[in-house]
Amino acid sequence: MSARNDYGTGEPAFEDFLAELDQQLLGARRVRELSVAEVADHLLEHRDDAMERGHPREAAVESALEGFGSGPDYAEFQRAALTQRFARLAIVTGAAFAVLSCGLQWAGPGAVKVWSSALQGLLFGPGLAAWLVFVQPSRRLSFAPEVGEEFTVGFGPWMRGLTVLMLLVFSAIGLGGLAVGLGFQWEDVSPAHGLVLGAGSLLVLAMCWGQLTRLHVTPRGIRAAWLGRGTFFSWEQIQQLRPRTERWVWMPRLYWGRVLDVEVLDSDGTLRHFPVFPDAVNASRLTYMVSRHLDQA
Amino acid sequence: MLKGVLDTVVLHALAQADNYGFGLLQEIREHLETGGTMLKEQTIYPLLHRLESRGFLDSYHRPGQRGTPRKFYRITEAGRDRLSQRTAQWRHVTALLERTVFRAEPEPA
Repeated sequence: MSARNDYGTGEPAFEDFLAELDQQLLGARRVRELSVAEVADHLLEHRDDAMERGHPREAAVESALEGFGSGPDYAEFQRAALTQRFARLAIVTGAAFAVLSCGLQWAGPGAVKVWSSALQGLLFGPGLAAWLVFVQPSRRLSFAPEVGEEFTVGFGPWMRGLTVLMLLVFSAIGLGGLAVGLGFQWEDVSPAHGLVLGAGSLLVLAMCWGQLTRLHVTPRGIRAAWLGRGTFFSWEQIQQLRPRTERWVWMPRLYWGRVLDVEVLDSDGTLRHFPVFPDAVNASRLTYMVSRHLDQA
Repeated sequence: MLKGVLDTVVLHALAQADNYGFGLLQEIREHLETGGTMLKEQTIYPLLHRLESRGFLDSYHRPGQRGTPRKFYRITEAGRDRLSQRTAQWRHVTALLERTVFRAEPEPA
């Protein structure tokens, strides 16, 4: 989106402004295009509004640019928001990996090398966080669904592949650490060992929970699938959509920022819940549809 | 404008109907004195993005009049709860000011 006339506004002055803004924003193209598209729409709306009030086109374009203000200031807001998200993810992921690595060394036969654990966390945390924030967009530019449209909510194959790989690595490290360090003497396992492994496992499970959940949305309802197991709910069964706030969700919330919960009344009268992660592909389209159905109910 | 007032004003406006950045700005400006010049155009987007990241708003895209994507914001249940809390807090502050500061000030001529 760096070449002129790529933003579809049809106004050379807007195209120049947006190209300059685009260069100042952080992130990959798919991350930046959300901000650029919103600003482009704003400028066009302002121009049309000014023209309706009797301004000539040129003056209206100028008024729109002047009214919007400085591109660098807007870019600064976007950079600050992304940097904040990056910092949160880097700290959470890095700290969890450092603690887990430290715990595994502690459970093993050798001495605990805190510096090497911290280094692992420092290497892994920011890398994963940077990919999630600056390369993998937190939201995608997708239109609200039309009536009768079918789509799937979930993470792409790369994210799911990464999760499975992490699961395998963690399982191998965990089992290997326990086997070597404890010599298969399960009675030697202290509560502290369990806590360390538990904390690491919680983080991985929190990531898996989101990345492996897939929701297929149809005109009749939603089919929720997790690791191949699926359940179907009709739109009439959906009771509410709200952010998850339970204490046990603190770990997924730290990682994902926000987890939404769709509450469903099962055929036997029990309430069931399934998560929606705002970062997933088509998540905003699903929340739009659920909200619309709840409004109509 | 006092910190936090604009959040409440935006949540209130979106509680009436979903809207997009420029539409929301126009709506709010209509209700503000001094022609709404105190509300800068680009102030609205960081505010909307912040409210969205905190779960008070959701967003979705629809094709605008020109077919280009337009991002609409919609208040969530958490947003409605937040609006109720903030409205109650502002009522309390207003009542407090009415009983103290405003009472002491002479009526403008």
